[in-house]
Amino acid sequence: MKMALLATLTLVVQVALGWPDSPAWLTAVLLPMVFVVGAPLLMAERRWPHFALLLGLAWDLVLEPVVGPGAIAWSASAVVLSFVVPLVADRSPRAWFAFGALGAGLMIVVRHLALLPLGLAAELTGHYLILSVVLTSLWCGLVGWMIALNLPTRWITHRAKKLR
Amino acid sequence: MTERQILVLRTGLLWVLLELLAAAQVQTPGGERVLSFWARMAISPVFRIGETIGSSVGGAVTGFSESTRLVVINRGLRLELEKARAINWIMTEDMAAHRELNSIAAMIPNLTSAAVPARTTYRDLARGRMIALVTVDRRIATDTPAIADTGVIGRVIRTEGRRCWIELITHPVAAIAIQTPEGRVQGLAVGSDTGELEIQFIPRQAQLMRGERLVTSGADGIYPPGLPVGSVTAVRESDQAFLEVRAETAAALATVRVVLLLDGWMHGQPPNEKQP
Repeated sequence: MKMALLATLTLVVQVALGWPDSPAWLTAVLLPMVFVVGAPLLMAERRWPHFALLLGLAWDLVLEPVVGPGAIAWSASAVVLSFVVPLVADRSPRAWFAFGALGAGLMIVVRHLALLPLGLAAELTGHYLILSVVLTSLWCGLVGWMIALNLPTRWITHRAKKLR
Repeated sequence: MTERQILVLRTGLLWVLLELLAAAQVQTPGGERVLSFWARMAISPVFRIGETIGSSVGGAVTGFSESTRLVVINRGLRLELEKARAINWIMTEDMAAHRELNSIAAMIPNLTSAAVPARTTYRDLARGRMIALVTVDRRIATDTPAIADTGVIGRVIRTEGRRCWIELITHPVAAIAIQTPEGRVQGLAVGSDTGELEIQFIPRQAQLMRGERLVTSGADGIYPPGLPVGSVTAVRESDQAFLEVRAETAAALATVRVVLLLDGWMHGQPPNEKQP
């Protein structure tokens, strides 16, 4: 339930990033990628790719002209990351950064391939791909760093020290 | 199958379903659903194959029916060919018969109008018999001479309707008065069991050579004089008062097609006008 609320919030923010007055490059950030990267890194349940598919469907409903290609792209990223992440022992923010880049690249390419047979695929430029990969990886790295900081525990410790 | 493989399989299946779902929502520039366009493109090879098979089967059926029709036509043509061959054979026979008839007519300059042509329908050389079919509806009298294109063949011994039974000159009981063409030697030719003629009553001093032609003398009152009978094949002296002479018939009895019956030759008129 918490994940569903977080995902909804993320999608709302994603839509907000595309607000007409906002910078154009903000739409290149794939905010829901943190769920796809975070699940294998945080040892979540193995059926996470199916939830990624639901996330993709929601993405399609909110942001895409047709329902389907987004779900395919998000679940493809989730499947690949669920296979690749266990191979690496690193769980630091650097890993979040790297797997965020990999997931973003995969999502964009697979989405383009899924739209291609439908005749809806726009031209996939290297500039957009790099921009999206970099921004999404930075976003994932930021989230990973925030998790690594373990702020709630620190806050509780800090409060306990002050109360003593 | 591992859990990971099951996951990939299941996810792949979901991707296919999702792509189909997306295709159902999008239209081609022509206004057709992409999904139906894909379905049509997927099914078109099947239709094309079916069409090809159908046309092949149709072609085979058409070819079979055509070949059957050709076989029927071929059979018809073969029948026509056989018919044409039969007609050709009959025409050839008729032409040969006419030639023989012309030869006979040339052989007898003073041929009377009473002479009747007849077609041979049966021959038995061993028994010295021949059956001829008269071409006109006329009763032929017995003892009427029958001649072929090369000589005498015999005489009529029985008539029934248009059919005439002819006793050949080679029959053992047949006899015909003969002579050499210039009348120097005269005798009697009788039939024999060997199919040859025995020439009897030839005097020992007669000058008769092998190969000499013999014609009718008319002395028997049956055959008109001057008709070819045969040619001498053997002359031998014996203890008898006469020479032993053998001759072969002038007429080819085995192959004769047409005979001429000299009905009423003595009077130059048909037998129904002839005095009894």
